[in-house]
Amino acid sequence: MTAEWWVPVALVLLAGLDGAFAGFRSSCGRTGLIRHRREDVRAHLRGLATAALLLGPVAALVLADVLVHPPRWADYLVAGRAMLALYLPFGAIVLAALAGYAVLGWRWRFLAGALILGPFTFARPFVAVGGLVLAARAGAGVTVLAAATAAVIAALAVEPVLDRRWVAAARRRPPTLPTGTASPR
Amino acid sequence: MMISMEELTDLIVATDPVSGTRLPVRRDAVIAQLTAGGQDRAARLARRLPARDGVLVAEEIDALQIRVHCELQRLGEELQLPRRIAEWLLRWRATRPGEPIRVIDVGCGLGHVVRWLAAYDALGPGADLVGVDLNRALVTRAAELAAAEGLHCRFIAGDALAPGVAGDDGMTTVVISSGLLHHLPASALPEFFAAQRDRRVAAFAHWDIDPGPWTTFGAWIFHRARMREPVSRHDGVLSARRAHPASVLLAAARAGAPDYRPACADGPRWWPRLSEVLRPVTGTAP
Repeated sequence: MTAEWWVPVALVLLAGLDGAFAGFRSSCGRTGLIRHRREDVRAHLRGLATAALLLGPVAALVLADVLVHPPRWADYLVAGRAMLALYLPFGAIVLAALAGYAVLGWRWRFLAGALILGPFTFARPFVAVGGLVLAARAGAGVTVLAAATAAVIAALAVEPVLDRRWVAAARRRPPTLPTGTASPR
Repeated sequence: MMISMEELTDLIVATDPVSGTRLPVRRDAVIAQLTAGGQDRAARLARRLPARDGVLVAEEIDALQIRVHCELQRLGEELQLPRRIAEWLLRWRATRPGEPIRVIDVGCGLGHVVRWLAAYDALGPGADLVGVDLNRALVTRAAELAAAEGLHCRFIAGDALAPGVAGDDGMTTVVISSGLLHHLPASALPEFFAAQRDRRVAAFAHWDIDPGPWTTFGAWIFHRARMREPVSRHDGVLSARRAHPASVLLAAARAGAPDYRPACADGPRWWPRLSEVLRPVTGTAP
């Protein structure tokens, strides 16, 4: 281990936040209720748990790889730093917009959504892949790139996995109550 | 200028305007209409809709409509639609302090705006909130949602502007809608405004998209980012393209309700007016 412990910590924090937000997005527009704060909290936690489930095996494999091949740790750090060069500013802008959304009046909230939160959700998969490109350009090896790719795929899979959960839940409902809560993305 | 392209949600449900009875819709007819209009993508979506003996399965179409409107509600939240409407209604009501008000939301869908106004008691005491839509499945679901949250508002299936459907005391009534006007062809707009004049409503305020290239681009981005249903994505972007410019809405309001004071403004076409992406055409009684 080196003083660069912040790299994996930042990646894990970003992955956790991204998973929580993916859970929130997956639950939006499902129930039609006006007051849904409690459901929003549950959705964030569901997203976080799903991200942990999907990314946990990747993290375990990376740890095992580093234990077996200690010199590869430096390679992982190179890739991580390159990815964070893109992910950190992206995440910081999203968090700033969310903070504004939480505390400002409705006109500013609208602008935060229209200018940042919506377009950034659209851009998210491209940014995730962009991080991989930067890692490759930074000289990360094949094994490290494979792990990074697996992590990106797992992070991007959180929302579709949760969407399928909504579909399954809706299928279990009696047909007399078409609650309109499910649809695959 | 309104383009002659159809939204899928307009084609897959048919209701007898007099009796309110649901009419069967043949999938082939929907596909043929879309194909004839050059809407190949929409025709492909229509081919995937569930049908029995060639007729769209009403229950599944209802469930689809509810899903689409749930997603729309989410978009409405992000666009701050209920707050925009509440702000206008409060301003209007401030000119008549103490008077009761009945708000009728025409084409209310799942009644997002009406239920939001009720949930936050946005208009204060003495406000009667009514949502009306031709689609019985949506209105039924709206009523279920209102009951689930204990909200004081009503939902009615029918023609909101027909006598006796949503109350006839015109001078306390404000008719509102959101995202309805682009579903009407420009030629039908004067009749729409005339129906409100005939009921002598105190005011009307109908929110719709301010059309333009930026709005269409924004609609595309947001529907890709936020919507799950392919039908939502298709219809949402088309809505922005079909929206009427302010000049058309004002001319129709003046033709249909000549003694009302109309107002509606669009920004410069090539300059994004972000905060007014949804803007109303309004009219107040003489």
